[in-house]
Amino acid sequence: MPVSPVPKTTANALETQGIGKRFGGFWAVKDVTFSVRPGERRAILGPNGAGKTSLFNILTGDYAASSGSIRLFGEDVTKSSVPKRIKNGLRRTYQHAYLFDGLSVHDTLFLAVAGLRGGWRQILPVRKSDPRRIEAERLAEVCGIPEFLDRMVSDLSHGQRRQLEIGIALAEDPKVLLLDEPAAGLSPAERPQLSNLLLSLPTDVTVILIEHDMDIAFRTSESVTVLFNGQLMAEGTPDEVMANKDVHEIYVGGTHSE
Amino acid sequence: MKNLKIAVSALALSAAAVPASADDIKIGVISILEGAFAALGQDGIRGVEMAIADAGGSVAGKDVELIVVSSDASPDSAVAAARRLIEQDGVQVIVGPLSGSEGLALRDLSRSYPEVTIINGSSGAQDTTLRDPSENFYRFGGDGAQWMAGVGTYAHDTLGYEKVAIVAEDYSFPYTQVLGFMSEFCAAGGTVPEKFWTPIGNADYSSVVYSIPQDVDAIFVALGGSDAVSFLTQYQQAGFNTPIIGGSITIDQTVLSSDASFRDMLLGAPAGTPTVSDFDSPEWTAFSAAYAEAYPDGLGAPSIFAHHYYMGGHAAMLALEEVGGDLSDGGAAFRAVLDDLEFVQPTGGIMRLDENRNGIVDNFVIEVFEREDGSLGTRAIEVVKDVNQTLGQDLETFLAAGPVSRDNPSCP
Amino acid sequence: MRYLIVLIPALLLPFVLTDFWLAQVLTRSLILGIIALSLSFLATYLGVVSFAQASLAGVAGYAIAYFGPNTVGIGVPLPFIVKLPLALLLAMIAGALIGFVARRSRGIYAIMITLAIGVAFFYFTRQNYVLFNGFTGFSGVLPPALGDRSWGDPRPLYYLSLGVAIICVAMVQGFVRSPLGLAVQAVRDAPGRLLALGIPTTFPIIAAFAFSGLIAGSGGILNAWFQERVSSFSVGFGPIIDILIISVIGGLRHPTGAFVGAIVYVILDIFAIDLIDRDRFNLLIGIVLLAIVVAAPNGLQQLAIDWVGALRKRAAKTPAN
Repeated sequence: MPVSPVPKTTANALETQGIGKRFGGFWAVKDVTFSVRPGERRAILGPNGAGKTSLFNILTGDYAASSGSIRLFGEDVTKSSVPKRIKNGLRRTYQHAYLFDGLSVHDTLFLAVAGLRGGWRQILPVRKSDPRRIEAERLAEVCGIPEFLDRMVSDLSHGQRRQLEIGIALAEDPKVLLLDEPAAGLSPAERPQLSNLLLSLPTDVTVILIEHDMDIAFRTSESVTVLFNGQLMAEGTPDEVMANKDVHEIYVGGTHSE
Repeated sequence: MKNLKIAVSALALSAAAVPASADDIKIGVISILEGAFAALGQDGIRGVEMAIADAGGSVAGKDVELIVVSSDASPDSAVAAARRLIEQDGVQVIVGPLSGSEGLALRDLSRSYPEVTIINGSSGAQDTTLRDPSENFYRFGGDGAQWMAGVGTYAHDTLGYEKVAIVAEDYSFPYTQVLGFMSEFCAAGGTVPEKFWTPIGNADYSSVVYSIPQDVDAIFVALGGSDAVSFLTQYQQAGFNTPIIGGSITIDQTVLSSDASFRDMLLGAPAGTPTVSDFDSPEWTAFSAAYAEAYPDGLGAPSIFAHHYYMGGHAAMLALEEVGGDLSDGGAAFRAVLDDLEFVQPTGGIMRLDENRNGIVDNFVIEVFEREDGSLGTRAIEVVKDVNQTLGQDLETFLAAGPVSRDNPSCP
Repeated sequence: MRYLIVLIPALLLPFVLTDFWLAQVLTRSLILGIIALSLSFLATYLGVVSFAQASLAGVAGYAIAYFGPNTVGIGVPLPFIVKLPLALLLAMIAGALIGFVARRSRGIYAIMITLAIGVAFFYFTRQNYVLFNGFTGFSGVLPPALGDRSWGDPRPLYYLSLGVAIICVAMVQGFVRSPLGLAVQAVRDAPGRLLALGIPTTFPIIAAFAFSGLIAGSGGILNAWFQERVSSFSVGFGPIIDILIISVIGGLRHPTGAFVGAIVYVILDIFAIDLIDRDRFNLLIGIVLLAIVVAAPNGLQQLAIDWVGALRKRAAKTPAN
């Protein structure tokens, strides 16, 4: 398995400087500056339409930033392509589970691990003993669905699909993990399981999490960033943020939707 | 009877070959019964049926059974149809096919089945019998070049055309027709400065229309059916009125009855054909009457296809009668009879074969005229007797000119 | 193991059937099935219905005619060992080009693009005389000799076609379990998600079309040997539609469905004219095909599997006596 060199820098895992995204005359994200330390667990909060997913899209490169710059472990990736950022260790999950319904869990994780590297051999059937297949099995274990390895993705429950999303994102040595509402649509019974999964993620992985569920967000994260109308409103430890009057106003007390 | 046939066919579907009745003589017929040619192909079948009916439905005391199989104008389908007739139904005599490429394919196939005799239906490709002929492939009729006999001379000597442009579809049959026209026209001193080859089913002729030299005396149009209508309409609408010379399938009823503006252009236009609808001879009148009586729902008059399939079927019946319906020698005696067979054609001439088993035929020069009711028709203005495949030339010279193509012949 | 149930009779059939059934029914079905398999593969695993598969078969068929013995005096004869891989390679390149052109198209748009390519190729073969010999095409395209006989004889050609069919099915089954094959299926399900994994989508699409070109090309070469000819008629509307019909009635669930569809289609095509009045036989073919599509929306093969499953269930419920 190809290993990208671990950045020997004390730089932040992720750092943005005044990034924004404009659609026509509307700024979905505006002048957001924040930074995340290596290994940090950061939650991003905000009401619907606050620009959280747009922020993720800018970070991953799915959207080109209209302003500002992004640094990944000190390297400026503002203009880099999606695959380049992936290569640098950035991974994401999607708010709406977006998976390969016609593949099995095993094949999906295999694809996430193996990619299409290795030349002409990619046209040969995969052997059972292939190390990449073993690694896929390990990922299924990590994300908590080892018993569903041979199941078709289309036959998974919603919660299992969420777990698989995280399993995919964990493939190939991720360094920064962007999780877009991993608990959305889960039943109350499934939520603790997901929290435990998030807590069990390797500690050297930086995790940035969009989450509506306060319990999950505060239980799994050490710091919180709050977005409102595309702009950064507050930042700090969960307690600090909860104490912030504005946040309380717009988020907890006011328009919080469940 | 029909139920029995269905039962037998169902048996064939489920397991093995149809049991052959030893007393019946089976004749296979290949015609195009699907797609654009279906109506014409059906008329070919009528021709064979008339030939069988002429003989009372039997030869030498044996009933004749026709097994009809459809092809779709493609050589592959004609080969599949023939193989089915030979291998599945066990026929030793096949009448067909309809179109030129199919004829070439069956000529090739016939070499693999020396015990089977194929008698051409209406296919008119020249090389089917001219180059590399097959011992057991017969054509009691002409090719596309023979069907133009008389037209080139008539255009030059009678109509006084010196310079003619050609517009034709881009495949073997029109090539052959162009050869038939040019070999006479060029020999008489005429020139063909330019030829335009267009794809079958072309709808837009504007580039051709404006490229035709202004100083030609006439245009030889070898296009079929709707292609001819499209070209003539667009040519006339562009403001030109150069006289037209037609190929054997150019000026058919669809062209004549379309009330398009080009009708004036067509009046007096000559064309070549082996089959004329209103031809005043006792044999043809009798043939037309028999056709009309047997097929009240048929075409207004026997078409070129009914005419040629009839000749194929008629030849088969005459020869079968001669050998007492006995094909047990692999058809050798049958073919020996065919080689020397002579019979009176529906158009009155004597049909006989050359050494390549190709017909020596009578051909007609026809022209478009206006009937009293104002509609357009064609009438025979000249009959050319005894047209052979080399158009009267010496075989060596004729072959030396090479196979027909876009560029052969040429007299610019 | 269950393949033996089909394979053993298939090996023994030449000893009980007449040449006609062997060649005109079974061999033809196998060849059409191989070409239809290339379409089923694309439809099932890439989710794209391609109307250009008859053209891909045609590319290989024309190549084997152009580089081999024929009776029209066109082409450059090459040794068998060179022309066979060359013909397959050309079909794969043609497939890759079609995949490149159609790479961003799905559904009806992919159908339109591939149909346009198929029809354009058909007209091109009719117009071009240097490579394709125009309307007439190539005749006398004979397969290589087999001792003092020919590979074109009914039995050898049947076994050859059977062998190629088995190899093609095995190749499809192997390919879809390869990393590239998995990526092809991922493109079908969620192309954007595949990109987010850092895997490009264009390459799997092109590779899938090239692979379908290899299969269609194998069928196209066999078809040229079977017909002993290849011409514009081999790549026209008729073959394009035939291949589609065979894939649809056979079903897209499993690669072998194409062969079930082919044999039903061939038998109908040959014998329908005997069952009904000869000016109406195409109507019968149409009605039967329509009935199949209505009764078995997932194809005949799936219908048979469902029936067997239902029978087994019933047998399991009935107490043994």
